[in-house]
Amino acid sequence: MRSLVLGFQEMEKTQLLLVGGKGLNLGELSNIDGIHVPEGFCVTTAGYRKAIEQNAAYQDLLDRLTMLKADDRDQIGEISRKIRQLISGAEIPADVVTAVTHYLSQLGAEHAYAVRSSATAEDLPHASFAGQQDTYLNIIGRDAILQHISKCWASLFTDRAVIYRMQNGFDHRHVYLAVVIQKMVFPQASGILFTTDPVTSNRKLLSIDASFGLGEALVSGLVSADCYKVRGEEIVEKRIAAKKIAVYGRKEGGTESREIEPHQQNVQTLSEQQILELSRIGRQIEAYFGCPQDIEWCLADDTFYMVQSRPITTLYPIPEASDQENRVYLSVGHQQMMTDPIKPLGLSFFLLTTPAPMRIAGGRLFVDITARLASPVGREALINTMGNSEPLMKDAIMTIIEREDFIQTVPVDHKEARPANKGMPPAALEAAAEPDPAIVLELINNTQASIEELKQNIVTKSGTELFDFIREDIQLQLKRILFDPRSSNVFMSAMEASAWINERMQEWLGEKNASDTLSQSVPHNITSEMGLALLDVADAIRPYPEVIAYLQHAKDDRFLDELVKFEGGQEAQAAIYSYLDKYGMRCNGEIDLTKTRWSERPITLVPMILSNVKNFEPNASRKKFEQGRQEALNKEQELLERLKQLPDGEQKAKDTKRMIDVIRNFIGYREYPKYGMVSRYFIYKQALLKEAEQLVAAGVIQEREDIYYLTF
Amino acid sequence: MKTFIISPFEELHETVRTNTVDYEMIGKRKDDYKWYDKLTPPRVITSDGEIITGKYKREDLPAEAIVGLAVSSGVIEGRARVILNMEEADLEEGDILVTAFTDPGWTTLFVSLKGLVTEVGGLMTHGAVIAREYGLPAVVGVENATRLIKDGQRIRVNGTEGYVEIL
Repeated sequence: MRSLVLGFQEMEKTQLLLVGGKGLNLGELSNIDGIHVPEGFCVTTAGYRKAIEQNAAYQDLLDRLTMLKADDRDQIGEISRKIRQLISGAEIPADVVTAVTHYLSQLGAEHAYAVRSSATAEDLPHASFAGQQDTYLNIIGRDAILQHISKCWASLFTDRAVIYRMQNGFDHRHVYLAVVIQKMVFPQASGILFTTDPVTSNRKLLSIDASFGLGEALVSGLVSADCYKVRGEEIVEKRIAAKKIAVYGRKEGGTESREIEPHQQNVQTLSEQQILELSRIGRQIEAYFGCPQDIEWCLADDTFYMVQSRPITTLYPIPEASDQENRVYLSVGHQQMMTDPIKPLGLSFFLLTTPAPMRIAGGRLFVDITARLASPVGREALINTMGNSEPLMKDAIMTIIEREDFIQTVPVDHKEARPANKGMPPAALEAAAEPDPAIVLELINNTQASIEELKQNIVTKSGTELFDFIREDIQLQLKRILFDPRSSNVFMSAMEASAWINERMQEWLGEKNASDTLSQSVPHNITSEMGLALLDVADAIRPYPEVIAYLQHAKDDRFLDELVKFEGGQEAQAAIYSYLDKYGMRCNGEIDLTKTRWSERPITLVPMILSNVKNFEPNASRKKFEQGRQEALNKEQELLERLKQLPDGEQKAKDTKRMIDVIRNFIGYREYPKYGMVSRYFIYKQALLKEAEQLVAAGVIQEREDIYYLTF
Repeated sequence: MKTFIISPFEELHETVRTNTVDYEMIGKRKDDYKWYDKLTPPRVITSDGEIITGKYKREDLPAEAIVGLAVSSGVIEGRARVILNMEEADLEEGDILVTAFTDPGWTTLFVSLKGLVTEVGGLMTHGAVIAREYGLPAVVGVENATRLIKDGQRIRVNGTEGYVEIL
């Protein structure tokens, strides 16, 4: 038979479902050498089940509760109240009473105890149950303790807990509660210890909150607390709060809050020695559990007691490195405009594509910039790249540089080249950097041809041959095209020209961000064309009310086949297929190869098409593009005329015109390399999904998408 | 709290070759992914796990302005639509999109917009380039924009000076 009651020392790691999160943590804490935990035991979930399982009225109410939905608030309230009354009023099974009495007599029946609920799902790393934090302090006498055990059981059915379970899909029938009964400590001080700084997440900075009396006041936010921060064996920060009240246990049971004498309020709660002792205890507990902990502690008779320890699950994981050196990482997602986590297969592909030294943490990629920060030239280059375009990253990097001790700089290597443009007259530089406008079409055509070739060649490959083929394609085609210097030269020159225009127009004409308007409606921008092309799809559909009506109710991807049944359906279908042909490899979060592409789920586009049908007139794409182009041309005319009025105006206008042409010829191409990359990714993906289908057929995996969780 | 370890070991290739897989590991990674999805990645993090945040060093702003980076000129007022999942977008013409990030796929929504506010992004990242090309006033790098701005609120986006005001 499963134990109805277990002492802290008797628990085992595997007994979460029996003793709940809090109980299990206390059991584990009690096992750590040198850590003091107030003695106690736990009425297990087996004890709770014994109490309710034979209760027909309870089962009946539970059935009624299960039928309700989360928004039937009145009924939930009524049934939950009845269940709570029933549980707290019912007699506790005799063998549970016997066991509790036995443990109490061992620990001291006359002593005061804290009675706390310990849910089986609460305190778990990724799920937290609301409303199950019931704690009763300073409970004295067997009968009072038994009564509070019932109260804890009943707390499983507070309205809040019930609604929470409904909203998160937990079955009321399979949620059980354990109750922890722990000897009261009457502390002179208590508080919370984070083994990681809660403000910055710095794992090396430990943070202690401390105030007088029982910790409950602090936990509930009733009193302000001192805060100490410790790094290694050094207290690096102390903030002493005015502690106006403290909560203490009463002789006759229960608790009371008392005002603290004015001259005592600003006294430091813990001595330096105590702070260091407590921080060593914190590090020991953290090492035992193997991850950062959030610990409740108290101090009684100069001994530190630990009353709770939980993992901190909100911390962002640290990118893994092969050594213990200080390192600095920049988020790749912020530069790629995609900060969702990426699945392992997607990460593999991105890592195979990029030449940068990247690390993974929390399903995201980070660039290790330590080496660049270590050399003065690298620092300068990095700061310059951030320039005005990433001020938040730049400021954060400046903070690290200003610390001086975090990243050691290597001595200046005089042989290391200075940035090449130093000392070269700007005009010469610009002339050298300016590509031939014909190159854009050439690059686009080359990419297209290479993609077509890939499509043809990949169909004959399967198994190991496919994997080798994809690897080779990434190396020899994808990377060659993506990092072709002629390609980056195109958009770099446009970006430099934009910066040139912004600076000069500000200086010469007091005109801010002039290149913004000048960049409107440029040719060859695959991404903005994609937005406009969906307006054309809407144009193809707008004349056909039957198609529109059908699309408004379409729920799944069968809609594309069904469309032909309606007047205009053929046209609508053709327009959508032609759109997918060009843009179907794209989707939200496209750099993650595993994300569902529009071609894989065309219904995704339907709400946007319908909103275009509703919000726009026919030919909107051409009108919009033309309007932007006119605005850009007008701005160009205006700027050039104003420039000509200035001293040396003809030359200024001439230089400016040249720069405007560079922007308009080349900035649109900025979006193309990624289109090329994503096009290839989708072709790889389709081939891999065919392999996945075979794995499903062979019973190796359950669904195709399982392969997304494997590396390539 | 371990993170994915992407070993040079080719897991999918090996699975296809041998027709075997550690299915428990797949389940574990699915759980990890759900957990990661709840985390907000930092711009800059150190090997100590310390998150270094940057600040905009600007003083010329209206009192209640929410600061960001100006990436596409123009000042516009409209209804804020706070949308994190593109598929749930229900935009009316003239709405201002407020979201975490806009990679190229989001462009299909841009044609209906009057303005753009994102939490992530710089002068040369995707949303910014397209916003300029469509002549759409935009402010990016607005920290916590999707929490500070509520869906349906009227806001003013200043894409020239780089801030947002709730009206």
